[in-house]
Amino acid sequence: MLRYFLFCGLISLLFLNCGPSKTERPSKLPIYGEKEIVEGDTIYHTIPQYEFVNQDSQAVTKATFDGKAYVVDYFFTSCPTICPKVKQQMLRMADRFQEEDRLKILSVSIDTKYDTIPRLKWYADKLEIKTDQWHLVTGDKELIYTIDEDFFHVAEEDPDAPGGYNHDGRLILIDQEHHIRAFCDGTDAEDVDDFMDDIDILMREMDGTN
Amino acid sequence: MFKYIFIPFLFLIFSCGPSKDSPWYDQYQKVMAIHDEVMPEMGTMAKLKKGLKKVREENNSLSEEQSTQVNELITRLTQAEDGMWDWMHEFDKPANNADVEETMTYLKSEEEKIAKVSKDMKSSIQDASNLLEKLTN
Repeated sequence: MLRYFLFCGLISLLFLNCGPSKTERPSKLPIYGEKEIVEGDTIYHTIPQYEFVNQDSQAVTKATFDGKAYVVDYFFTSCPTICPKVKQQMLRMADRFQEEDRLKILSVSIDTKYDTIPRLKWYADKLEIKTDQWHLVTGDKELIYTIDEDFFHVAEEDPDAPGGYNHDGRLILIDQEHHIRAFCDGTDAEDVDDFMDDIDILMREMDGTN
Repeated sequence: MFKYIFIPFLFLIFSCGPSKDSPWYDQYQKVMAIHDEVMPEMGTMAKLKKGLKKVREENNSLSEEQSTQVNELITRLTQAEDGMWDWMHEFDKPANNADVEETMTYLKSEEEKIAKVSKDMKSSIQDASNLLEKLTN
């Protein structure tokens, strides 16, 4: 009888160890969004065209990120104070990848009324954000609210997307061909750690070493 | 989907609040609770406004009265939305060592302001939803 329990215990442990852990990362990132097969080729969802203006009054379009990977988040500067959690996570990520020219950050303000270019500039200076790495942008309100669906909704609808994902403080990783490759809860340090590992996976893929 | 982009910011505001030991903590939470209830509806408002603009552009058979109603509701939605942005922009989180009486007075007046924002948002959403349903069915 004791042997039976030991055997069952061992089997249970094996199964438990085989379950997905939060920090377990795939060797290759999935491509989220609807897929289409055209003449035998799989066409993946890509982010549509957009045009924003950044803290230095420069136009930021999809072409700005051609050949680069980038992280997208939504924000606004008049949060009664700058939320320490999100700020810390975004700055931590920017710091870790500051030498990585192939990764950029696109923070889209949803407050088109107050987040003017000078205000974005003020915010960038306050956080010591460098424009060549991190674009804080504003633009047409309707575009900002509409493109959100392409940035974020796609991952949610995809059957391969992890279940139970909530939308709080999301960060999205877009690859050099404008496909959505990863997302995380930007307020959760552990989730952001995993997300940064995902960025490394993408960087290796871009190197051709994955 | 529109509402999702606003949900994270509830957390941002709450997480930056005063400590639980502050004498005005409950009053601060009261103000924030009103804000948090309606903030996700900012997306609903954007969606309704988009819907009304589409009707205005595409429905050629609108009567003069209906056109006026559509325009009025677009204006009301815009004003209500601006009311929320203005409130958030102007709201000053009290410092933990601020004068208690002054801070309570301030937070009570903020409660009135955000309650008005909430009321304007809810009524414009309700009226716009009704009109949109009427014009598109």
